[in-house]
Amino acid sequence: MIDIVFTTVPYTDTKLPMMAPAVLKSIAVKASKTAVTEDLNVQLINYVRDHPHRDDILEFFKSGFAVTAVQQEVFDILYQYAKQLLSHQPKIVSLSVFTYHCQIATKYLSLFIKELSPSTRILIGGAGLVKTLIGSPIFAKRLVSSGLVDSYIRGDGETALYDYLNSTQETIDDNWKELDNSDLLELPTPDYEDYDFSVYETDGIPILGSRGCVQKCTFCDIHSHWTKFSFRSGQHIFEEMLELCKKYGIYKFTFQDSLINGNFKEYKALMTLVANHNNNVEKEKRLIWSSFFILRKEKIFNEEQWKLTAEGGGVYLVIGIESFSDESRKHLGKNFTNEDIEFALQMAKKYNIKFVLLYLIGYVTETEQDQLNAIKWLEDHYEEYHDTVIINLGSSLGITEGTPLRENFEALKLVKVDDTDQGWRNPATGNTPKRRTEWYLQLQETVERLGYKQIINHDNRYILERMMRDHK
Amino acid sequence: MSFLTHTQLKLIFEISHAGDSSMGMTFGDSDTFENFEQDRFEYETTIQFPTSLVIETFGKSHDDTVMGHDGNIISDKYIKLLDIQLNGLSCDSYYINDGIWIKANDGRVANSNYWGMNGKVTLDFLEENSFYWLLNSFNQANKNNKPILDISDK
Repeated sequence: MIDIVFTTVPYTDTKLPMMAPAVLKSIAVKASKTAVTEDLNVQLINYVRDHPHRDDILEFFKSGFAVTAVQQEVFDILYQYAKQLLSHQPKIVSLSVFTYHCQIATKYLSLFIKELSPSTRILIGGAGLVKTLIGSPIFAKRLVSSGLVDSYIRGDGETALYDYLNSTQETIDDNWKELDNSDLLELPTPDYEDYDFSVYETDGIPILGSRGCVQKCTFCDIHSHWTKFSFRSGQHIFEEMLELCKKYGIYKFTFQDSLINGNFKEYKALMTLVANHNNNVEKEKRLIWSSFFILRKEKIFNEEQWKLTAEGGGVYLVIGIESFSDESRKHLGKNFTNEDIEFALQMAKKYNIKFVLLYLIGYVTETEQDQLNAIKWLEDHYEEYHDTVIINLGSSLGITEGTPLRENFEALKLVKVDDTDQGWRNPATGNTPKRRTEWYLQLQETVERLGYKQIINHDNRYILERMMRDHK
Repeated sequence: MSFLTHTQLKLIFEISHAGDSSMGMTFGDSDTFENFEQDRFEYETTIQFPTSLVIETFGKSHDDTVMGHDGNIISDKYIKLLDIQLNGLSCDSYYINDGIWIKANDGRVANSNYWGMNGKVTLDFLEENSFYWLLNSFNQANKNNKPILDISDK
């Protein structure tokens, strides 16, 4: 018998190992509890990969809707998952609800677990408890009141979990402690002992150097969750990378930060340490990483910094360029220009760094001309940079609670057209949900026609499908 | 497999009074409730799949519905089913709004969760277990939502 089993809950559209179970296990161990981790999300992803009813099964895990052909199978999947978690004979099962889509599996898994083992306590937590970062955890409260779930943790779980495991009572508190720089230094190293990295399409070890963001983008609600940017020193992160690669024999890392270079001084320190390390080990033992990254102007992030980034192991940088219009990008809170993107691309090509460009379709200021400019940009840059960039088209702009756009909705003279986050229009520019889905399809066609590599996100496609149904 | 066949059922109702009186309900053969004092009533029982639950409504008379000069209802005595929960999980709201039928004692039949007449409502739980019942309540609401986009990996 063990104290607690931590698991991811399907469905999150990712090719990477998820970090939460490892972080939470390390906290449990710190609290002198026995713990194991499972990753039901990757189990489902691998199970359906070549399945003839793949899309139907995933549809159930995203929406709760199951066509007759897969009803028995989704029952069997849930039943098997519940038995698997209970095979550890845990006192507590902890379900990590990473996104809103994970709510379907969370409620049914809770039902199955309680049916199989009524005395096993169920604890849930994660960003998926709420639809937006500032929303009330209504979903969690309902499950608790129904008796299917015993407790939930809102917000970052490290402190709350430690207290929960040391308490003899169920404790539910919507308040949570936002960790500062010194708190981050006290956290134990995530415990990946139970992970089988070979089952993931991308096998990097997840690592987290900071929380929050230094940017204040108008479409983003991160500041309603993390009010300040907290970070670890480059030295501290580097030591953790060394510890993890020594323990697991993996030299590839996936930073989970909102941006790795939020604190420029610590970023340079980290890159310098990794670069020095990489210069003194065999090639296959060099540390490499991918991360979200904010573009900065050339006078701040010059060629020397790009060279250091490459030597420091940067191979994939995920960059929210959001638009190819300088005006739109400035309006949404990112001050780099198309000229800055041009320089960054030159540097990326020169130093063999790949960019994943995140594009936000239909920002509130975007017009038909901006759409045409975006298509032209893609056409003009294909020949030179098709080996450097990977395109990731968003599902079009959703205006969520807790964002500056939502707060300024009326001042921007935007109009609601339905209750969804995507249900808005700008009468001044003709930017409507219908138009945005058309813009998406045009860009998608352009990206495919030209032959860019691209990342297609299932969650985004799901939102687009709904928009197409609702706004024909 | 007798998994999830023995299920806690909770029905949540809104009760509207006329004066001091309300309609009453009999669940199954003998579980009768009347003269509700509150505006909300929750009925809890245990069911064994597959089964049906018959609810009989009574206590409504013509005088309990007050019409205005324009023909609109000003006040009414009625019972409204708000939610069906199995082991704490709610069915889809579509099922509540469109999947419930009441057969009045005078022969009229209405597709409604608003029960302003004396009659009988049959709630069917004919699936193998509560999981399938919840799934089907949801499927009724979403059966027309077929995928439009090709979401396969490229």
